[in-house]
Amino acid sequence: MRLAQAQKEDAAVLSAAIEREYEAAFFYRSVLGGSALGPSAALVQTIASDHDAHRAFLADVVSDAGIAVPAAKETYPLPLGLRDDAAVVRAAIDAEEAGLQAGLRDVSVLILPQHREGVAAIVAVQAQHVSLLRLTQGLDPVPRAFLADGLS
Amino acid sequence: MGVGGVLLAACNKAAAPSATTAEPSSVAPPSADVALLERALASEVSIGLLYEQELMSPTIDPPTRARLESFRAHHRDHADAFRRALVLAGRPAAEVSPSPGPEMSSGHDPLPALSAAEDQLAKAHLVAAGRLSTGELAQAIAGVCGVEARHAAVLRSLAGEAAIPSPFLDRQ
Repeated sequence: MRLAQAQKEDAAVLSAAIEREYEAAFFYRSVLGGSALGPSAALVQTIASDHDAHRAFLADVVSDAGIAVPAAKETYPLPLGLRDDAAVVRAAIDAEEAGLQAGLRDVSVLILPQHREGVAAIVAVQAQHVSLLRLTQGLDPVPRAFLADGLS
Repeated sequence: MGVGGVLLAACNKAAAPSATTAEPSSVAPPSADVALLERALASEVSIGLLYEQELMSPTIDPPTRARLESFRAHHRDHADAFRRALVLAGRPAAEVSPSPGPEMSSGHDPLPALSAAEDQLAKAHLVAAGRLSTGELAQAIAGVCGVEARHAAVLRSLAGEAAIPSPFLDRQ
């Protein structure tokens, strides 16, 4: 397969990853702007910043392939019951786990090595997010030996 | 299918011996994938030995000891998965020897040494994810890489360091 074609096919996969980053950013912006967060606020702020960096990285890759970067929607669905710090952390764990499982699938279909490695570097950090979020709840931070088995 | 199965299936597809060849490993050079898996296995065995060594430290409190034992068990699982994949590919794991671990002085804090080793291992797996020839293998090793990254973050957190120093693993 020619490089340009591979870049184009990878860009389609990475565009979907950008959409997921938009959704994550909307979730974190919403909870950081609300009053439910307590002791986990600093960690959630760090995670939100990490997602901003992931989105910017993915957008650069897509743009470099000559593909238009998808625009964010005005709003995304939010989990229900975000009434206190623990509820937000549980929702964040779910969101991070869903994101990294999708990222793992992306690694299996991306064609160019640098794209696989780039997405794997993001997946690993999302896995770290889950561990630190679980620690705040007194849960085992690494309950499984393989990400593909699920994290929680 | 777990990661062991994925590794097995993917490696089988990439480097299986022919039906008429009983002992392929003694004649055929390892494929690039097999070489990467051998290196990954050696690294998992090495870090397991480092955990064994560090767990002998008398300064570790019981909760931290339990955590470290759990992480050591994960590395055994990872090594087993790589070993099974290599055996199926006709490369018996007995051929693989772990790289030597660093010399440790008694009474030192084990957490920085272990977090550094986990970080190094996660990054090695990350590079392998980019180099393995099939998407299945890349996905499987990325899943192992993510677990090493989690270990590193938790160990840094226990040591009072910044747990996630960068949004990208390769820049941590």
